[in-house]
Amino acid sequence: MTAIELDGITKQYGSLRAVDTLDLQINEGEVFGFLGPNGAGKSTTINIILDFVKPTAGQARVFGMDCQEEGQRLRQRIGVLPEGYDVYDRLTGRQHLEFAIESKEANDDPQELLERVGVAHAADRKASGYSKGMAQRLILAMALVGDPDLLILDEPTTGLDPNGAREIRQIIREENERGTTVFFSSHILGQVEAVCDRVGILREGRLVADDSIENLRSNMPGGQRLVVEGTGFSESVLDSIRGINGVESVTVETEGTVVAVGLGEDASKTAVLNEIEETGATVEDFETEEASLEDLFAAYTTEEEVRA
Amino acid sequence: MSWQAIAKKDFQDSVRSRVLWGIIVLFALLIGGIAYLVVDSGLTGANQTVAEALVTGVFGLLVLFFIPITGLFISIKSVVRERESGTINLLLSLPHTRGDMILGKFLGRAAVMTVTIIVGFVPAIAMLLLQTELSPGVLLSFWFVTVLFGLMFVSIGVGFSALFNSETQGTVGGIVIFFGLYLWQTVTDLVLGLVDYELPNFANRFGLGQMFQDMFGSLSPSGRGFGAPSSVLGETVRRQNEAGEVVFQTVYPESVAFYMQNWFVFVILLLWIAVPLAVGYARFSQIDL
Repeated sequence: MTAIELDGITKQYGSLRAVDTLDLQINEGEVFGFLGPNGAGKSTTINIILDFVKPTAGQARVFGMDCQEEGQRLRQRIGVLPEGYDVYDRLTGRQHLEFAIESKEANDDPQELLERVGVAHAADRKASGYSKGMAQRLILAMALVGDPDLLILDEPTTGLDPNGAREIRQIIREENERGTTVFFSSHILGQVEAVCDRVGILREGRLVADDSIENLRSNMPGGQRLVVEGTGFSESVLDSIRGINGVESVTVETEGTVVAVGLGEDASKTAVLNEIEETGATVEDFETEEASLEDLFAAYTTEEEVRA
Repeated sequence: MSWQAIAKKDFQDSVRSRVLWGIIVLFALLIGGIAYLVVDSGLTGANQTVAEALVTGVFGLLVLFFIPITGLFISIKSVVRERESGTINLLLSLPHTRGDMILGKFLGRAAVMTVTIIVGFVPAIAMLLLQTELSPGVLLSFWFVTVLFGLMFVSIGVGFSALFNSETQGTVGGIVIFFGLYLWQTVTDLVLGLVDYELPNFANRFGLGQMFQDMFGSLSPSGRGFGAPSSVLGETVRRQNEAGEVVFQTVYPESVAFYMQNWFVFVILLLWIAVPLAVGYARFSQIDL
């Protein structure tokens, strides 16, 4: 059975098409990473699934239930960490969980859930005093109420330190092991690759890739990465590197001094290094690496033409 | 029940507002202060009817000012604040419909309003019951009518809150609505008066002062009762009494259509509660958050 089924979803805001005839199927039991740069339409898509936003066209279903018609029934079976949320300032962490438990007519123990996400120590403090990370954990605990069959997490690791992000990934894994389908979005590929069975990459409202990370990687042409250290890497230098035949992506690692260049099969390392010297910048050191997922992501989301 | 969880959460949340407790204390002090003056003046011993009319009249003025302000304050941002801050994303991620949200908001805030009125009145009512001969029936029905009266502003506030797009709109809207309700009678006289002579009287029954008077008039032992003509129909006439003195008296028509009788005010109250909520819901259920 499919957990989420999007069928030609389109959302038009004035002249902006935020989501463009998006088709997507998430199978039960899967961990699906929904990737894309900020503004690609990830949150709009999730908001359509949650019926916060009405689609201009198309249909969204969760466990076979129509998101617009049967929203209440389907939300009984899902847990959500939405985007752009805020906590209720005057309620304590425990009261937040009690609200979720009552709303879902579940019988979880608030304390247990708060312990699981690591904010039990602040259970009886007003949530207005929580840090961004604590609030994020609190909402995750609310999402876990009632053992949902599907978790929808919009940028769950944003605002967390690396430790917190790892703990969230751990929770995602645990939930998935007991059969929960997980759909989560991120603009950072690194957050996704460790836990996802499959990723979809969204760019300007369209799905430009939908595959396992292994497959995506093997489809990457060339797949070499040249990291150059030096000085004087101005925007015009970067532009001229981009213009070289076979260069697939140019990412700045350290402003002005370290640049990573994704190379396609027909690209020449020497050509890149020469070009940099000719434009007035200096090369102090360079090394080549296998293409990382970051380059892959960059290739899918920033290039003019996408080869998917 | 979905709306119950929302109402409970909402009550817990808004009852912690410091401004709200400020209003309650101010209200209790004002109305308690008046009660103290009345007790202290010894007036209630002299003429029971006059004292009753005085107390309910002065209390009435305070209520007409305080209850709309408090009711709107409690409710005017109830929906739009959740939208602007993003807490609505938590609420509607849970298995609630938008209708549940509006209903739960109304009930939660109505409970806050009721607590505000009950607590605010306690010192004044206690003083008057214990230290004067004023009829408990009159005092308690006044108290109860104030609670009913409060509900209408909570509903207007919640309904409009669902129409606003920002908290600023909520603040401005609340102020405009407050004055708009006071001008109700002027507007109905002016606008509807052009159309039909009979209509303004009925329309005026929806005004704040008339609403309160007719509810109190229906329920209080001192009132004219359920079947009596609405106070809007009262006409003040100059008469000579048996002693030959000139007195002013309010006279009412002998019999009137059902919708002009006192009790119909409760139907009007229901309209004031249901229509704003329905209008708010109609739009709120369609918008993108």
